[in-house]
Amino acid sequence: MSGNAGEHTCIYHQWCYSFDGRLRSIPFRRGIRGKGGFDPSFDMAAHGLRKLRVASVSGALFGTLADAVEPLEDYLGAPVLAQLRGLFDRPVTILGYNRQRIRGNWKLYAENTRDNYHASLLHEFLVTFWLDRSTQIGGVKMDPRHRHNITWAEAESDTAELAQEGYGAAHVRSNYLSLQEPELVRFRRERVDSLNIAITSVFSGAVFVQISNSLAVRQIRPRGIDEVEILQTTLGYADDPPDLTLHRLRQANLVGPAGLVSMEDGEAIEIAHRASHPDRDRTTVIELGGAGVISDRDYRVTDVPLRGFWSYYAELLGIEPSGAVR
Amino acid sequence: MTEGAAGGAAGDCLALYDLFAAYGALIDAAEFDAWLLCLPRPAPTTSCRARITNANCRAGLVYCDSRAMLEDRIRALREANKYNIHTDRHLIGLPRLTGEDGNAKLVEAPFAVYQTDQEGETRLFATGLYRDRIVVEAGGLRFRDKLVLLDTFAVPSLLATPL
Repeated sequence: MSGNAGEHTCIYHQWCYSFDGRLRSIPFRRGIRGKGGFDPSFDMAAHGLRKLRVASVSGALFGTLADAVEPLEDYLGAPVLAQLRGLFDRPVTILGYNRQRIRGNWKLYAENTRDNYHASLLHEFLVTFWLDRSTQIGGVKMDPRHRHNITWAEAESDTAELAQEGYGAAHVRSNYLSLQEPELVRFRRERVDSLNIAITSVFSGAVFVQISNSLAVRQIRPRGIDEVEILQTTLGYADDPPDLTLHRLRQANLVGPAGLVSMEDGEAIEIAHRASHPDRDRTTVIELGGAGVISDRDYRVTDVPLRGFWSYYAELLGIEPSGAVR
Repeated sequence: MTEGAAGGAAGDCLALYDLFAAYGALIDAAEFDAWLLCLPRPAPTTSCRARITNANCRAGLVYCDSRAMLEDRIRALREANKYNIHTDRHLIGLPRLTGEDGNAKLVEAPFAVYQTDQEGETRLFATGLYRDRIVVEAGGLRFRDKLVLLDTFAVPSLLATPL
């Protein structure tokens, strides 16, 4: 469904609102023939819609219902700002949308996009078909408060021998297969950097995804405690030549609910939710890479950005233990 | 039924029914090699497309524009992807001839796919419309271009096995 409306009218009693959220008209305000209706003291101006504070980074809109917020650029921090400005350095075009309903808590998904440890273990396609390996040069980069994260990896920055040594020693699959259609995973360098993985997670519910040449924005939409919807918008650039658009359409196979790389996340989150949900009075915390300072890392077997996420979440909810690392 | 392609001419309703019946039954039986026979054989001159998508989207949840990509999908399903173990059940409505394009027939058919998990619980996974180009190849009918247009545009959990 799509289209444009000139105003917002609620079907229930036909109260009508303007685009800026002001209440413009209500039926039978004075009643009928002097009887009924609203009290003369009824103040239209006091019954508008709650307004979002909105700010933009190169056309990407961010909104909040909070009254007092720091400026968006401060909130995002320099690394995320630079990443988004690079991603949106020219007009984008929307190639499609998809939605995925996962029967798990939304924070498990927020963790998932920050969790580097799982990527090449759960998503065996990455390693099986030689797209992304933990032996590549890569790491994690966060904002000063560590609430956001960029997971990055450089294309072709390791060798087959190095990968086989690393995965073989860990008794993880390292017998690589080849695709009949190698374009599916071929990385075409588009920028000055050579990142073939750049996953930017913005607290609380936005993820900007580049996997090879597939580009997408994901919104994490909680649907209660036990379900989350991931709304993904698949992007290209308005000035993409037709062969690059086709390449992106092919590589869209990698991401989303049917993604060759990403489909497992739906299952993993549901399993984690089912397993942890009954034990609400217990906690299990295992910190990969140890406790201590939360900081950027130039290696890939780490989940330190998860600690940043939880630290900020705890601060927002006022449940941060005293002396906690931020 | 294990034959991928149905015999007969494209205008032959029974052959058409047989093609759709084979398509659904082979997925439900996880006989993906036989299922691929519903599509044109790989050859430099034949192409085929199979897409699973929402209305008005160019990008699909699945976008294969060659037999090779479809075979890669099946290989990934078997060798790499991890997903909820389940049984699919396709209920495919009667196909409707909507037009012709050269020697291809344009055909639509509604479908519903139910999934049953290991606990025996069944849920409706997706409904939608197949919008297909069907050609005669090697004496049988095959899908040249298969578009799976989803009504269910919010995918429950994940989509691993073909629709």
